[in-house]
Amino acid sequence: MAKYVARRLVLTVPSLAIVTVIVFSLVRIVPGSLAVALLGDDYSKEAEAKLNAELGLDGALPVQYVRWLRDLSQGDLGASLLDRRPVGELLAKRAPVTIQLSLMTLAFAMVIGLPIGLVSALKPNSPADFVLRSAAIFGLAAPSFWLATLFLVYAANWFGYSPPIFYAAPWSDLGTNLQMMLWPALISSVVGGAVIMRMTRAMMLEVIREDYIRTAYAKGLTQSYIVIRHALRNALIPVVTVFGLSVANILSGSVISETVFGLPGMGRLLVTSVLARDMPVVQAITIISAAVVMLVNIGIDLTYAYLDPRLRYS
Amino acid sequence: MRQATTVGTLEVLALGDRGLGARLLRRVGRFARRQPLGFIGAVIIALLMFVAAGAPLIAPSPPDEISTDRLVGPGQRGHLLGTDSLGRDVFSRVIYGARVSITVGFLAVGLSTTLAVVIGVTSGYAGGWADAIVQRFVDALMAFPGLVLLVALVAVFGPGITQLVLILGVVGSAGNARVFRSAVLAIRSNAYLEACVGLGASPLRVIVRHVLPNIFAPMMISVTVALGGIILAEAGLSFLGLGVPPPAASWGNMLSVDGRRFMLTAPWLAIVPGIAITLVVFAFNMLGDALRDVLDPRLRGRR
Repeated sequence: MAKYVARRLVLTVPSLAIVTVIVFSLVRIVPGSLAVALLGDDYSKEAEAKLNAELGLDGALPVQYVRWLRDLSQGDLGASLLDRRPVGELLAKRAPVTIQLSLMTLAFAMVIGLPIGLVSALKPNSPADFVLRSAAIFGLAAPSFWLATLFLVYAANWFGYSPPIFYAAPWSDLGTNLQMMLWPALISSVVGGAVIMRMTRAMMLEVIREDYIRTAYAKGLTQSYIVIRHALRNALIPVVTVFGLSVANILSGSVISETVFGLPGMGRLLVTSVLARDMPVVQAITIISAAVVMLVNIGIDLTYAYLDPRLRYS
Repeated sequence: MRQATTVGTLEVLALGDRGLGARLLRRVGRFARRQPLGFIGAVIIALLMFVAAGAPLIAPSPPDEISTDRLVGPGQRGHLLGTDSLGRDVFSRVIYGARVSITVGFLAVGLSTTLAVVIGVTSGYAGGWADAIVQRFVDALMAFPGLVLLVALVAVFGPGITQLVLILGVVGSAGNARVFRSAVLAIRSNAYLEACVGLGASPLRVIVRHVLPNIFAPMMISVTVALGGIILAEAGLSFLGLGVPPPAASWGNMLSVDGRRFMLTAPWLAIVPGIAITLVVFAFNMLGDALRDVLDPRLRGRR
């Protein structure tokens, strides 16, 4: 186990280094020059030099990289080109929205996916199974931005619903906050719920065929006892890995749902920054989300190793 | 050879006499019976390609032709699916939108599969240090949430169909490279590969003649599933205003520009393109699932 953990951590270091190189390159592979593109008509030699210095684009590439990495490790993410504020400050305000939305999305996905997958697996090829599986297939295919748009149209037309315009933090006004976050989270959770449902179903079907389940039945145990104590425990181990994938998907989804529902999170900030070519903000969000995904995946792999005795004792 | 004893073989021989067409039809029929959802998927995809190819013949008007019939409801004044705020025919735009989806989808998947095969197969076949280094790059690319990286790359290269194909193709290659690498690792230690190497075949010959044909099944499956994913990603980017720029008709940007501003009074603007996207992604997913069942007997019956 210790060896596995060590190996897993050591392998992460080069990947993380490559992630930083990719994000570092983002600004530097802009066709032509970013400074020239940003300045447009205000172009002058001095202005270009000044902007390049501001963006950290002056000097040799290795020097730039080391400087950038040093700033990054000290939490200095540069300043936004739009309003000159430190990017760290901007993100600190936006991050709670995205974190809350992501956690709620993940929770909904589990609440939807696990029981449905279980029901589907216990009665394979029954009408219920067919309906639930079809729903999951639809959930995988329907784009969340479409579902969100439809929701806004029909909730407004039928119930006169419109999301609150001004964001409220959960600790200041929980009611307004939930009114804002509940629907985006529920709609974004459709994809994740469908993935978890399919995975749970597949794993349950596999486990139920195992010899030890037949043995348990032969011993005369009740079905609910077998399902909960023997089957589910083993079936859920691989489902844990889905969470790792889900984190990346949920962060992707937050870009869409925050934009559609007008939530002031990191995803919406990313879109507005891209439209304005505010590269320091784009870089910061890109590297933070990649780092989060990597960290969560390390956590998941270690949990997996702990949960699966075959890995724990090897 | 021709002394067929069992009924099954007799049937095959009889069919053989009826020719290739009948055999093909029979195989299609069997696929339709065993994988009804996959067959429906294939039919939808065939229909989509047909519509995309024949768009100018099928669409009643050019996709960007504006008229005074603004926000006309479905079925009224000769507009099957209504019109948008500029009086453009929604049916025509959905049909031309299929062209964008198909073009971006196939080109990007072509690019990503080519890259993935080159990276995955050489990395898996070479093994050792080269494999370890390449896989760390794949790890790094896979760490980025897909849409976040795509959006960031649009900030760098700007929106547009060419950029979209390149970005989607490169970003999409990482996951597939991993799949192909595992496929190669699975057959790497087989005796027939060792025999080839022993006979003095060059690595290139071994890969092209023996490895590639043996990973054809996972390739077909991942191409199908990737098409659905890329079409979805293109629609998402266009929806955010970062994909196919207007006035070109794409299902994603139809939902973004018009769908959102006028949808309260004209809900068909929000409904029609979404159904098109969902149907096509559903079709590719189902075909991918069916191919997996057919091509990989170990997974038969699992979903």
